[in-house]
Amino acid sequence: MAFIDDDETLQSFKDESHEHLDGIENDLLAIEEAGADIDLELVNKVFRAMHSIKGGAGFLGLNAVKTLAHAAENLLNKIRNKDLVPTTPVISGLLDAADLVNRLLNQPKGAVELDISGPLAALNSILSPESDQAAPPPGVSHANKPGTPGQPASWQGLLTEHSAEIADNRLGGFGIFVLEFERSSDGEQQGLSPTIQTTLESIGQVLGSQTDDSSAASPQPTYVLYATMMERDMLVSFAGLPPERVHEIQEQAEPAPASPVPTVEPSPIPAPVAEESPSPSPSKNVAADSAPQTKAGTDSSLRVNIKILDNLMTLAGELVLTRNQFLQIVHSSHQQIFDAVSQRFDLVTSELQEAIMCTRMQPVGNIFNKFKRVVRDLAHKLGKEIDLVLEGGEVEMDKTIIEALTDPLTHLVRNSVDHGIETPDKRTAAGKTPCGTLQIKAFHEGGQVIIEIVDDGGGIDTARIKEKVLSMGTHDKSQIEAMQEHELLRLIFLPGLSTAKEVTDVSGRGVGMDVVHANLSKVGGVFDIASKLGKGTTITIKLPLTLAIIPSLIVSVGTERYAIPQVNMVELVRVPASKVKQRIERIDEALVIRQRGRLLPLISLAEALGIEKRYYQVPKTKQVKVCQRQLIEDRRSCTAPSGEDSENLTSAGFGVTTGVSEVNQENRESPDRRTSPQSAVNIVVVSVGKFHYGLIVDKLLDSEEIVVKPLGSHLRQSQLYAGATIQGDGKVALILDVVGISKFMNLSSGSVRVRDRGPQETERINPDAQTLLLVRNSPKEQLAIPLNLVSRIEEIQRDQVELTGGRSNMQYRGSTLPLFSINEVAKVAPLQEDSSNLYVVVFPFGEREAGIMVSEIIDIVTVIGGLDDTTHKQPGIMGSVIIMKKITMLVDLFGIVAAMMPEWIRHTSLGTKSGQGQHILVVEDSPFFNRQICGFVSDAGYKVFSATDGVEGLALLEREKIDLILTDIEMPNMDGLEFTARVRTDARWSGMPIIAVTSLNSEAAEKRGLKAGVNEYMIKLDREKVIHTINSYLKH
Amino acid sequence: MQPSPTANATKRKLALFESGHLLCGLDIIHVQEINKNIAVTAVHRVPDYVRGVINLRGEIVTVVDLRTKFGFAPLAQEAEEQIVIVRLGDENIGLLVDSVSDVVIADEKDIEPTPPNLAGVPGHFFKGIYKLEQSLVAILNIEKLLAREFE
Repeated sequence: MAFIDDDETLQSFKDESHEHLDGIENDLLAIEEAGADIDLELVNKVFRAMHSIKGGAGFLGLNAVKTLAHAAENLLNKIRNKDLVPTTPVISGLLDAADLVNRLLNQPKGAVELDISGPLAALNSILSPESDQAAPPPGVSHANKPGTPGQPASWQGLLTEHSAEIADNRLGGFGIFVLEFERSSDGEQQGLSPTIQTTLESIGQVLGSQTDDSSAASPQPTYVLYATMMERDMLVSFAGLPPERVHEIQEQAEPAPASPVPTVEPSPIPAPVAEESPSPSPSKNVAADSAPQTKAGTDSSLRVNIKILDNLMTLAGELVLTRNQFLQIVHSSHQQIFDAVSQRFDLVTSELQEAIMCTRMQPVGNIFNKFKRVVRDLAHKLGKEIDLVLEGGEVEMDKTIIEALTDPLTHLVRNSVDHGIETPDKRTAAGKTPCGTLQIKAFHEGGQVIIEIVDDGGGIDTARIKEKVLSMGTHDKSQIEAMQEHELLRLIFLPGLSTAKEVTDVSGRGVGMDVVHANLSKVGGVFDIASKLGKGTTITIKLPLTLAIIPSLIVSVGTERYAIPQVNMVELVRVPASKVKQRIERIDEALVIRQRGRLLPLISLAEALGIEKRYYQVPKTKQVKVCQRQLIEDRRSCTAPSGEDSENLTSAGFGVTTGVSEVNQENRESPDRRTSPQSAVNIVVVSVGKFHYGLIVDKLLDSEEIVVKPLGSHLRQSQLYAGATIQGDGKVALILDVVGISKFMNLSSGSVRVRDRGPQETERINPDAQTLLLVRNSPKEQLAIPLNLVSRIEEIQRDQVELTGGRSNMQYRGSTLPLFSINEVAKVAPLQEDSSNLYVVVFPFGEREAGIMVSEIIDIVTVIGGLDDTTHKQPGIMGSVIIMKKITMLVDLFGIVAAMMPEWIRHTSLGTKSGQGQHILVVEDSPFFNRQICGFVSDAGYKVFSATDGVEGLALLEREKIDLILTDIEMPNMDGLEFTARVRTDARWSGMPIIAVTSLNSEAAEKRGLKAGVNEYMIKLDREKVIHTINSYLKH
Repeated sequence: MQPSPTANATKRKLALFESGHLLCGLDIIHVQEINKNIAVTAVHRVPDYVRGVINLRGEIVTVVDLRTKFGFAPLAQEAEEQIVIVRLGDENIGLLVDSVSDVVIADEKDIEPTPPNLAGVPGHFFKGIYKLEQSLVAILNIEKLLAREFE
C-alpha cells in the first residue's frame, strides 16, 4: 500500500467531500435547533457524510482529515444513540471540525500542516468529559460507551504485537476493534472458533487473538483484534456480542513523543499530502489563517445536470448536421435551400448557446445557506437573537457572479448582524421583539436578479455619517447639508468610514463597504441602500443574470464602433441642431444639457477617448482627413428643407424609456422648421448608481446581444473599457465602462449637484410650465396630451391592432392593451386610413394601462399658461391652447377612459364617491387648472373651496374648516412654498395634510416642496392619483 | 523535424522579420502564426505602442507596434504590414512588423551578446546578436519586450 498520488482521484475525493461538508453545515445547524428531540434521519445523514470523508481520507492517506472525521463520527454516533444531547458547544465542536477538514482539503500539496489538535481535543473532551484526554494509555484511547472509560488494557500486548498491521489498516481507512469473546459460549478450546473466524474474515481481517489467562472471570475472555470497514454498531450486531464487549481502538490524536507504542506513529512513507503530526508552530490558531485557504477553495469544477448535457449533445449533433448541409450548398448554391439552412443554423446556434449558458447557472441558495452558519456564530458571539429568513434560494445566476458575490454578501450580512440588529435588551427597550429578523431574498425583476438584505435593526444614523464624513474631511459642511438622505447613506461606501461606535473584530474598522462596492461593481452589480433610524436597513443589489452575453447598444464615433451595456443605459436623447445651442451649454469647462428641468453633465465620447479634433483614417485609402467638428455648443441653428423633426422619440426596440425635453413655446416661430439629421447631437444617458450623465456619440447604430471577451493584459489597466466583442462582420468593438469613463473625466455626482443648483437653473425652469406631446390624425388638426401622464410611445403596424368584442386591442408585453382613438369620444378627425403605421401613446390608469392611437407624433413642447378650458371643451377634450400658431386641443385621457371603459372608473378611486363632504382647499392661480382640479375633486364627493394664491388661501383657512389643502407652487402674491410654510408654523394647522400639485415633476422642485413641509408632491392632471392620495389622507 | 534536446542546445530556429532598419529574429518556439491583412481596431487611451486589437478566430489579441516600441518612425501609409502572433504566458500578442523574411537555423556559438544600445534601441529588448553572412540579426527578448509598464 502507498499514498495515492493520483491527482484525479484526489480531486474527485475533494470535490465529493466539499459537497458533503456543504451539506453537513446546514444539517448540523438543523440538528442544533432540534435539540434533544433529534431527527434521526438527519443525524444519520451527517454521520454517513463524515464516514465517507473518513473512508476516502484513509484510502488516500490524508491522516489528519481521517482523524478529525473519525472523531466527529464518534460524536455523531453518540448523538444518534441519544447518549449525547446536541447542545450548542457540541455542534460548535462539530462545525469547527468540519471547517478544519474543509481547510485541510483545500491545502495545497506539501503545505505546512494545519494543527488539528485544538478541535480534536474539543471533540474528544465532549466525547469523554471525565477522562479528558488524560486517562487513556499512551498511544491509544478508547471510544467506548460511557461508563467504560479507559478499560483495563488487557489486550495491550495484542496491540503492540500487531502494531504494524494496525497502522496499515488504519491507513486503508479501516476501523480497529477488539472483540471480547467468552470461551464458554464461543468454543471449547482456547482462541477463536473457526466458525466465528470465518464469519469475521468475510467482512474484515482478523489481525490476531489472545486469551486473557490472567482474567479472574470464570470464562476467560478471548480478545480478537479485528480490522473492518464496519461501524461499531453494525459490528455489534454482526458479531452477536453485547455492545460493551466491542471496543473500538482509537488512534491517538497527538502521538506522544515518548510513546512506547510504535504502532500509531505516522507511516514511515514520506507523506506529501498530509501527515498527522503537530504543526511546527503550535500557537498557529485555526481561526487566524482561515481566509487564504478558503479563497483557494473556490472550485474550478462544476456539476452539471445530466439533462443539460444531453441537450448539449443533441444540439452539437444538430450543428454538425447543419454544417454538412452548408458544405453541400456551397457546391449547389440554391438560394431557397440556403435560406432554410441558414435559418436552422441560426436556431441551433442560439439554442446551443443558451444550453451552454445553462451549465453555468447555479442556484443562489448555494451561498445563501452559508449564511445560516455565519449568522448563527455571530449571533452567539454577540449575544443577539436573530431569526434568519432565506427566500428565493432557487434563483439561478452565472457561476462567476455567484462566486464574486460571496464575499460582499457575507460582509453585508455580518454588518447587519453586528451593527444592524440590536441586542435583546436594547430591542425590548425600543419596544421591539427581542429576537431580530434578518431576511435575505433573491428574486427576478426585469431580466435582473435582485438580492435584498433586510434587517429590522437600529438603522443607519445619518447624523453619525455626517459627523464622520466631516471629521474625515472629504466633504465640506455645505456639501453634506445639501445631500439627500439616500446620498448620505451612500457615503458609507467611502473608504475608511464606519459608524460603529466601537471597533469589534466583526466589523467597524471602516474597511469593507468600499471594497464591497468595488467588488459588486466588477460583476455589474448596482447597489442601493435604504435605512430608517430605529426601524431597520434594506440593502438592495441588482445583478445581471450572466456576464457572458449582454444586451448592448452599438454607437459610433468617427469610424469606430463601441458597445454600451444596456444595464448602464437610462435613455437616448437626440438634440436637433436647431436646439443644440439652446439646450447644451458649457459651465466651467463642463458640458451640460437641460433635461426635464435638470442639468445633466455631458461627456463627449470622442473627447474621453482622445479622438476629437484629431484625424481619423478613412478606410482603404488611408488618407488623413480633418474632422471638421466644432465645439458642440457653438453650433449654429440651421434649417434644412425636409425630415421629421421629432426629437427624443427613441424606438421602443431599445427597451429604453422615451426621452423627453422641454422647449419653450416662444422659441418655435415656424412649424415648418426642419433640422438636418446630420448635425443633431446624439446622447446616451447612462447611470452610475443614482448618478446619471450623458455620453455624446456620433451615431446610434443598433442594439445587439454581444458576447463579452476579455482584453489582453496590456489593455486591462485602461479603465475606459470593460472588454471587447466581435461583431457580425468579424470586426472588434470595444465595450465601454461608463463608470471608468466618468472617473477618467473627473465627473462625480458631487460636482454636478453644485451646478444643479446654479442660478440659471431656478431662473429658467418655471414650475407652471406644462409639457405636452403634440400629435395629430389629420394635417389640419393638432392635439396635445400632457406628457407627464404618458408612460411610453410605441410605433406599431396597423395590422397589429386587433378588433375583439367590438373593441380595439393590441398584444403588448405579454398582455392585452386596450386601444382608443380620440374620435371615438370627441368630435375630432379620425385616424388616417392610408398609412400602414400608427403610434400608440401608452398611459397608466390606476393599476392598468391603455393606449391612444394617433397617426402622427409631431413634437414635445412646453407651454406656460394660455390654457383655455371653455371654447373647445367637450367629452374627451379638456380645453385648448395655441401652440405653434395653431389651436391645439388638449386630450382628456381620463375622459376618454371614462367614456370607453366606464367599468374601469368604478374600480378606481374616481369611481366611488369616496369623499364624505370633507372640506378641501384648492389654491391654484391658473383658471384652467383651478377649474380642472376643483372639478374632479368635487366629483369625488368633496366640498371644494378655491383660492387663486396663498394670501387668499390663508384667508379661506381662517374662515372655513378645512381638512386638506391642494396647492400649486408657482403663484403670484404668495407662492405655494411660502403658503405651506405659513400654514405649518400656525399651531392650529400643523397637522394639516398639504399636497403640492405641479405640472412638472422636477426633483429639485420636489425637494424644495418637501422642505417647506408639503406631505406629497403630485402632477396636476393625474387625477386618479391625486384623488387616491386625498382619500388615503382623509380615510380616518 | 523535431530537434533533440542536445541538438537544441546548440542550434536554434529563428524567424526573421524587419522592423525599420532592424533585422530581428525570434525563436520560432514563440511564434504561433503570421498574418497579413487583418483589420486592426484602434484602442485609445492606452500606451502608444499598442496599435489596437484584432479578432483572431474569436480571441481578442492586442497588437503591439514594434516600430513604436523601438522608437522608429511609423511605416508609410501604403505599406503592407504583417502581424506575428506570439505566445506569452497564457495570452497571444500580435507584433506588427514590416515584413517577415525567412527562417534560419542559428548556431548557438554564432550568437553574441547584445551591445547596450542597438541602433538607438535599448539592449535589454534583445537576447543577443546573430551574425548572418550579409547582416546582423537582433534576437528579440520577448518577455522583456512585452513586459507591461505599470505607470
